[in-house]
Amino acid sequence: MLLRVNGLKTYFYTSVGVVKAVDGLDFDIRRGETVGLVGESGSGKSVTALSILRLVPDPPGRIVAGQAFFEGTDLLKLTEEQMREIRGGRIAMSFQDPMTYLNPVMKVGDQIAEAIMLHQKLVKKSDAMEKAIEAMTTVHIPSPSARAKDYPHQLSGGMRQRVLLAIAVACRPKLLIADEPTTALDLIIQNQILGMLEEMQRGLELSLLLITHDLGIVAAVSQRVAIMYAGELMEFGSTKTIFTRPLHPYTKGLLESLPTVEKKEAILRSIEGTIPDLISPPSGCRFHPRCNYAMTICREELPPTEVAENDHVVHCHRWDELDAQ
Amino acid sequence: METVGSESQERLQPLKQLLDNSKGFWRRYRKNRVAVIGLGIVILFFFLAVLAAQIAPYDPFVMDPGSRLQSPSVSHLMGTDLFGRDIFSRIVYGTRISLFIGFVSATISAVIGIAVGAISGYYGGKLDEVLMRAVEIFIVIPTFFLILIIVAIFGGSIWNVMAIIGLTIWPSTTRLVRAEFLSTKEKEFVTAAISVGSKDAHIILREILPNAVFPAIVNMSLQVASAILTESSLSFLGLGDPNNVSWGWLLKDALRSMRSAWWDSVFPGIFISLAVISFNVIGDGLNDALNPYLKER
Amino acid sequence: MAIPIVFVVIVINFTIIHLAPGDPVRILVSDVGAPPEYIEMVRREMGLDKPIYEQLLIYVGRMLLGDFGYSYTWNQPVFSVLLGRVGATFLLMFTAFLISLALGIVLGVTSSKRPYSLTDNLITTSSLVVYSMPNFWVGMIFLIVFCLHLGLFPTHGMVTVGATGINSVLQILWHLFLPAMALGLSETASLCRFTRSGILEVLRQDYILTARAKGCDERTVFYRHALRNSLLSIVTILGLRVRMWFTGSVLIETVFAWPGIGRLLYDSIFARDFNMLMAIFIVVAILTILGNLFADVAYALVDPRIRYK
Repeated sequence: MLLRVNGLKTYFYTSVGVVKAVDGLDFDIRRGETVGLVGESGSGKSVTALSILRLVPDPPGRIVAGQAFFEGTDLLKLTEEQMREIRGGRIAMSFQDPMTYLNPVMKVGDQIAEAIMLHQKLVKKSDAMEKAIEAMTTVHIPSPSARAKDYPHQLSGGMRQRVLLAIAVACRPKLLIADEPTTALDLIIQNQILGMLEEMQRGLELSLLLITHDLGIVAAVSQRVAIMYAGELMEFGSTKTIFTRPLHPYTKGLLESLPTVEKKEAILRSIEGTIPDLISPPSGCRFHPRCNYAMTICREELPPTEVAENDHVVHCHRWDELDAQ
Repeated sequence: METVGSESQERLQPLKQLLDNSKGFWRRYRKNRVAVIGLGIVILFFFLAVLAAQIAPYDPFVMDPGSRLQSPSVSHLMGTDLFGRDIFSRIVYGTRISLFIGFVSATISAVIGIAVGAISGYYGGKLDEVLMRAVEIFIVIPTFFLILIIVAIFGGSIWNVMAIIGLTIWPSTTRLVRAEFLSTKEKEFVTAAISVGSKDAHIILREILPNAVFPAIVNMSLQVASAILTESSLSFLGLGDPNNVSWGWLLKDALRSMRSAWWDSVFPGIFISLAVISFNVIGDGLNDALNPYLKER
Repeated sequence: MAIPIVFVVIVINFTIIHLAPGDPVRILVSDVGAPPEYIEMVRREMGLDKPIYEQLLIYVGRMLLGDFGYSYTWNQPVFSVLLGRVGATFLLMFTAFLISLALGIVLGVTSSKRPYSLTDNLITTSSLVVYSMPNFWVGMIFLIVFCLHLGLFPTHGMVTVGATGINSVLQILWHLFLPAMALGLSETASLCRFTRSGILEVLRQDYILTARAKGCDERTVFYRHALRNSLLSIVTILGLRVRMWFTGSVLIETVFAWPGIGRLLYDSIFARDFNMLMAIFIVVAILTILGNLFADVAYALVDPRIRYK
C-alpha cells in the first residue's frame, strides 16, 4: 500500500464561518495503480490533494484530523523540513491551469531543473539541465533543448501542461497527484496527455492520483475510483464495478447524467439541486437533500462505511436495498 | 436556473443591503480601529471649523507687534508669528479653509469623474476611446504645474483653486466607475431593462450607478486628502488666498521665521498631516466596510 | 503616444495664454525689465494680430524649437536659463531617487516577509504617516532641526563659494544631503507601500503553489519566485511616480533654495514671470514623458512576456 488516508478532515476558518471542505475521508492507493478522485467543484478533491502534501494555506485552512500514511510514515506528523523533501521528490503534484501555475519570468527548463536540484543533490546547474531535458523528453516535448530556453507564454497550452508534468516527474516520485491535468486542454491534447500519463506510469512505476470531474477520463485511465461529494467519500471501488454497477445514489445520478448514444431521451438528466453550503452542511448524509431515495435516517445519521464485494466501499444507508432492486 | 426576477434582486442587492443594513456597515467600519480614529479626528476638525469663532482665543488677522515671535505659552498655546498673530487661532480658522477646499475639490472631482466614467463605460465605442485618451493625458502630464500656472495667472482665490483641483483629479475616479460599468453592463438585468425599453438615463442612473458608485466613494476620501496636500503646496508657493488663510499659507509665512520660531512651521504641518492621514485611513475603512459590496461581483 | 501629449501640452499653454485676462503679450513677455521694442517684436513675431489658428501654428512651431523667448531678468534666452538649472534639479532628483529606491524596496520587502507582524505594522504605519506629510514641511523640519538648531548642514544653496576641486564636490554633497533626504522620504514611503502590496499580490499567485509543491523552502519561494515577479509591478509604479518627483523638487528646492528648475519656478511666480512658468511647464512635461518612456523600456526589459513575443 503506497498511500493510505484515514479520516482526513480539513477545515477553513473564515470570517463567515468554518468551511468543512474535507470531512472524514478514507481511501488508499496501491503501488503502480491509478486511482481517480471524482467530484463536482467544491467536493473537496483539490483540498484533499493539498492536504496530503500539506500545502493547504494556513491561515485560513487547517488539517484538523486524520492520517496520511505514505510508505508507512504519517505525512501529517512530519516536520516541515521533512515534508519539503517529500514534496516534488517522492510525491509530486501537477495542476490544472498551466498558464497560471508556471512562473512567467523563469525559463521552463530552469523551472524543471530547480526541482531536480532540490531533490537530487546535484550541484552543477548543467547536470540538472541535462536531467531536465530528459524529463521533457519523457513527457514528449519536441526539441526539448530548444524549448527549455523558452518562457511559459511562448508555449502552447498542451506544451505547458507537459512542462508541469515534467516538473512533477523529474525526480521520479512514487506518487503523482494530477489535479485536472486535462481540463484546460482540447480533446486531442487531452488524449495525448492521458496516453502519456499511462506510459509514464508503466515506465516509471508511478502511482497516480487523478483528480477530475470528468467521468470519461476516469473510466479510461484508472483502476479504482473514489467518488467525493461535499467533502465526504460516497463510494470507492474498482472502475469497472463503479461504472457497471454503482451502489451510491450520487454515483448513479452522475452516470445517468452522462449523455450517451444509447439514450433516447431528448432531455439531459441532471441531479436536482445544488452543492451544499460547506459552512453549515446538511445533517447526516450530505447528499440527502438531493437524493431521490432519501429517508429519515439519511437526514439524521452519517452513513456508516459499508463494504460490498471486492473491497467496494460505499457510504449509504440504503445501498443494499437499492442494489437489490 | 435563476429567473430574471431574481437577478433584478441582485442588481439592487448591494445598495439595498447597505441601506437596510447600515448597522452592518458601521459594524464593519468599526473593525478598523484606525479608521475610526481617523473619523474622530475629522469630526474634531469639523467642530473646530464650525466653532472657530468660539474656540479661537484671538482674531487670526490682528497683528500685535508687541508679541512677535513668542514661543508657545499659556497665553499663546502655539506661539505667535512674525506679526504677533496667534498661531493657534490662525490654525483654527485655517481648518475651515483647508477642509472646505479639500471637500469641494473632491466633490467636483467626484461629480465629473462619476459622470464621465458612467458615460464612457456605458456607451463604449468611439466616445469611450476619446474620453480614455483624455484621461490618459491627465495621468501622464505633471498636473501640479498646470494647476500652478492657471492659479498664477487667473488668481489664487479659493474658488479658483477648488475648481482647478477638482477639474484635474477626476480621472482616477473615472477609471474606477468606468470599470464598474463595463462589468455590470453585461449582466442580464441590464439586457432585460433594455429589452423592456428603459431609457438609457434610467438604466445608468437607477440600475447600474447605485452599485457602481462604491469605489468612487472610497476614492473620494483619498481625494480629499490629496486635495488638501495640493492646496497646501499651492499656498506654500504663494499661490493661495490671503483672505482665506489655509494651513499651507501659514507654512508659507513660516518660511521667513524658521530661524527664530520653530513653532510657526511645526504646528500647521502637524494639522495638515493629521488631516491627510485621517482621510487616508477613512478611505481604507470605507473600503473594508463596503468590501462585501465591492467584492460582490 | 508621447508626441501627441507634447502637442496637447503646448496647446493647453496656448489656450491659457489667450484665455487669460488682458493682453496675451503680457504673458509672453512678463519681464519687468523688457524694453518696449522687445514687447512689440514679440507681438509681431507671435502674430498676435493674426487669426487664432495662425497664431497657434506659430506658437507650436516656436515651442517645438525650444524658442521660449528672451529673459531680461536673466539676460539670456529663456531656454538657456532652463538649461542652466536643469543640472541641479537632476542631481537632486537622482540622489533622492536612489535613496528612496534602496530604502523603499528594502522596507517593502521586509514588511511583506511577515505580513501583519509587529515589524510590518510598524513599517506600514510609518509609511502612511510619512506619505501623508507635506514633503516641503518635512524639509522645513529638517532645516530647523539639523541646520538651525544643530548646525550640521548648510541651510541653502548648492555650493559654498570659493570651494574648488574635490572640496567643491564634497561641499555639494554636504549641501545635497538634507534636500535629497527630504525629497526622497515621501517617495520612500510610497515605494514601500507599493512594493509590499506587489509582493503580497504575487504570493497569492498559483505558480507560488507550484514552487512549494516542488519542495522549495520559503526563502527560495520568496526571493527567487515572488520578488522577481514583483519587480514588474515595482517598475510600473516607478514609472507612474515620475511626475511626483518633479512636483516634489519644486517644493523642496523652494525650502532649501536649491538652484534648480523648482526654485526658478518659485522665483518666477514671485516675479509674475508667466512666460518662464509656461516654458518650465513644457520642459517638465517633456521630461516627465521621457521618464515614463524610460520606465516602459525598463519594464520591457524585465518582463520576458514583452521581450520575447
